[in-house]
Amino acid sequence: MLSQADLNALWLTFKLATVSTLILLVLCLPVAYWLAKSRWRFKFVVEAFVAMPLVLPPTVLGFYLLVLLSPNGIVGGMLATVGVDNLVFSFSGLVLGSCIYSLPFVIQPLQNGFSSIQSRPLEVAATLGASPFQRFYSITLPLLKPGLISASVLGFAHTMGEFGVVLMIGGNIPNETQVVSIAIYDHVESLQYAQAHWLAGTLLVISFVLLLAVYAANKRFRLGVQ
Amino acid sequence: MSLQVSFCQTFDNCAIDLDLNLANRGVTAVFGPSGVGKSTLLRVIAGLDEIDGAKVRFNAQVWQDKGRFLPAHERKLAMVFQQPSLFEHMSVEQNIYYARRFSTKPANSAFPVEDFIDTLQLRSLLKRAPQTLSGGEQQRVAIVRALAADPQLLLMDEPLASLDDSLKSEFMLTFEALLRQVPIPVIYVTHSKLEVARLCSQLVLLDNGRCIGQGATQQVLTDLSHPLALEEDAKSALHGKIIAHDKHHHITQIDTQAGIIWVSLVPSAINTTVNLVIKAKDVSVTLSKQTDSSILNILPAKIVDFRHAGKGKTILKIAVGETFLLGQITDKSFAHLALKKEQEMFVQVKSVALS
Repeated sequence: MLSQADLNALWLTFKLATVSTLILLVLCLPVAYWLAKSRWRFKFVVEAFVAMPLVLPPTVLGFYLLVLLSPNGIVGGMLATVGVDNLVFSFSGLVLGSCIYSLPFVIQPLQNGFSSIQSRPLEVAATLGASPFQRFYSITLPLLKPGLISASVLGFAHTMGEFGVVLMIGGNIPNETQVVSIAIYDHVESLQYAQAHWLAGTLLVISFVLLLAVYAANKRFRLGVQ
Repeated sequence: MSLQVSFCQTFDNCAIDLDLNLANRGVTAVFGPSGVGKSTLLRVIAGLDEIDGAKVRFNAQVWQDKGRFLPAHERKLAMVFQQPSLFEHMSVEQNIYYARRFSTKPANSAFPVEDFIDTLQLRSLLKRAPQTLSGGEQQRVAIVRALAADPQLLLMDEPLASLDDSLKSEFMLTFEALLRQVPIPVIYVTHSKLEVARLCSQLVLLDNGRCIGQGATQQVLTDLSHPLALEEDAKSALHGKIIAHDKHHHITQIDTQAGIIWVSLVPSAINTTVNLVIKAKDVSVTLSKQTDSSILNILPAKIVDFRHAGKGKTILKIAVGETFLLGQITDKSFAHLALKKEQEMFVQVKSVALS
């Protein structure tokens, strides 16, 4: 069975994934829109930069974050002068790391979603008297729904499975930075295979259910409103 | 009402300078060959294309001029595009009432949307998803959706171009009925003479971005100084009221400005106003009234003018009743009958297409 510590790790993971996904959605919407619509010739540089976390080993990412965020680091030092607590080995630090780590998983479905929206429905809406903001929420957002769902679920699921970055900048503090993947690693290290099975199995089921939701949602949207 | 538009687009070499006087209601066709910038014209009027130096003025409202560009959603117009472009995430009904979501004013009773829905036979489709509708049904929804926006001006960019030819004639009959209900001026861009003759009361001829002819459709169509009248598929338009049906012979009698005319059965009630399109090819002339002809419509007439159109064809402009018809005959017959201006004779109208 799952121990209290395991449940705490699960809850922390859930909290981390939720907060990170929400922050990412807000930040990525304008960026993805810009990436989809901009005709700037050096756009590919931004695209490559945004995709970096896809290929970078999480430990590399975590290492740089650790160096930057530590009280002696550039960012950490600056944050300290404006009164922000040390981010290393804290939940806030984990959120920051997760946001960077899962960035491409949120940005890319959104960018594809924006790209697939033709300009014609928006032009029609404009001639029908809808202002840019009204067009955004009545046409763009609903048409973006499949992309939004994919982005949320992928961002959430990917953050749930995070290991390397957490290990580097978060360590293994129960209730603060000990996420499920770290807890599983701990169980295996101390040869508690039964415990590891429970946690790993739980994560497996959650991941599958999430992906199931994405594909079911996409199928429904393809079929239209009726 | 007046609409002034001028713009110059250097990259595709199209420049348009138009000053239109629009009636308070009724359809004005803007006719011209493909590629003269007709669609661009509508996009500039609508505020969808912002071309530097363009000027758009509708009545007293300046929509675009130096340093001023009123965005599309603030212009009191609506537009129907070539493709229906329905919002796929909304039902037919939500599409139709889309503009009402943002309107703070109460619905304008001059736009009886519910009546439009009935006229275009959309009542049974309201709950459907747009993707499940045929092309013609989708375009009908798009038209009502535009009217539900309570516009002061309606722009239509070849709305029938995406429909199959077989659907067009059926579509036009209901479309015609709808256009008569529309209480605002409509600008109808097309390169189909049939649609012009059938649906539009005013006609503006475009060539090289310039207006080369403007006036009542029937007048412009039968004006032999325009190349339009000399083309192979020249047409004239008539309108009239249905006075009788002969279901046995499958024909309908219509009282037109040219006189009483028999046409193939029209599926509309007695007293309905209908527009007829008469191909110049289907009009022939005889010097004496034939009594042994298979042709039902023989009317007294007078030649007003004629032009040799080349390839052995002569186009006659013929005064019939209170209006004019175009007739196309061969140069040989023209010489044989020794036709001349002011000559009294008879026209035979072979078949009259309602479509």
